[in-house]
Amino acid sequence: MSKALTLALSLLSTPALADWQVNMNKGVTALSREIFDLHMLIFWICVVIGVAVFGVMFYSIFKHRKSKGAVAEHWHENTTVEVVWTVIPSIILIAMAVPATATLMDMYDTSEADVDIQITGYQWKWRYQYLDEDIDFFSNLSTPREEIVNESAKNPNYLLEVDNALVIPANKKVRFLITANDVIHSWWVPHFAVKKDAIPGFINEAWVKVEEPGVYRGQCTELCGKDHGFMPVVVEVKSEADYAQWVADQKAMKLAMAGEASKEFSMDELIAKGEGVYQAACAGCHQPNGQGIPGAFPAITGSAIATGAIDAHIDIIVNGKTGTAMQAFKEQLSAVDIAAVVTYQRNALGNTVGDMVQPSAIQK
Amino acid sequence: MKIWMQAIWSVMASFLGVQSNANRERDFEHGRFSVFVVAGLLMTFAFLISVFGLVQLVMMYVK
Repeated sequence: MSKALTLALSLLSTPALADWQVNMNKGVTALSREIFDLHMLIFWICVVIGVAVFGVMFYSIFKHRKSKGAVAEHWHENTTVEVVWTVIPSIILIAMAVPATATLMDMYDTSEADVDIQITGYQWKWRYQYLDEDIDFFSNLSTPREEIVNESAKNPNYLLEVDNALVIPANKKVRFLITANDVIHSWWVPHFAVKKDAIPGFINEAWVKVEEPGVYRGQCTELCGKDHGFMPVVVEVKSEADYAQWVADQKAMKLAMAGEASKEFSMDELIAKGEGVYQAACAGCHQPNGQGIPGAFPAITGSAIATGAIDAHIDIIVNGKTGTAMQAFKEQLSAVDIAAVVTYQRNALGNTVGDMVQPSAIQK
Repeated sequence: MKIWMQAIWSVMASFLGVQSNANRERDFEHGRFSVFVVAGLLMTFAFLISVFGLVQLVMMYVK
């Protein structure tokens, strides 16, 4: 008996509970805590109602059981009882609507934001545009392919890591304008209690004000196609000073990239760079080995486009192909990236065309 | 007057979804269709006003 008790207690100890968390997160913002408190309030109201209703029911069943000689009563209606069990739930529902409305109004109050960021869902990545800062980048999954195909051990942030995280300042009201470019996605960060659909042609708003710097992770939560599970959200919250430094760094990087676009690259440099671009931007559909998926995504190896005229090859990457899953990459890739990936596709993955293109020749 | 009060009472019962069989029989034997239509419209309007008022009240509490 005492053994069983010890086992039960050890199962209830903190580490075991942490592994088995079933409740929602308290989160890291005042609003997320408000939502959590509302959730708990409604939860306990439901518990009390459930215990009362089922308590009365089970007691009645037990007390008036057949073996005690209970006989069912036959009556048709009791207006008073029916009115009582209709009016009481109505009053409870209206009473619950009061705190719920208060929380909802807070959630929808996106006014007076310090930073505005447009979030656009793409198949299968997120784009972040800082509306006041001229900062614009894509955020791609960065989990190595070897981990996904079980060739190496999975790291703790498996499928929850990206190349460029969304960076926001702590203690500032950040407004998100959420939309999508192709299909419906949904931007979700549990610790912010923010989960908003990203719908093409619509702009949904949400906001956060995070107190503590840190890294917060989330996922796309609207089934959006093949790599729905491979487009995580990572938000890095920085102190105000660190955020200002990050903004300055981004702007410097943009200038440096503009300079790079006019540089002349060697074939080897382009192929080396192109391999990284290919794995991040193309391999999701065309596969890491360039074989594609027959019937769904064409192969790059031996493809008429990748081994044909170079201008047509550049054009399909820059502008995409209408009516197919091949999207336009002009917004997503720099001129250097496009030149590199075109050169890579023509001279790797089993292709040996032998030509190359410089970033300066890419017309976006 | 009595017929109007009965109609309004029955409309309220229908909003709640609870009515005694005795009242139902009375309405079907002695009630007038036009009275129920007018009472129904009146009560719908009263319901809308009360929902509007309730929302205003909640908004005041929130602000």
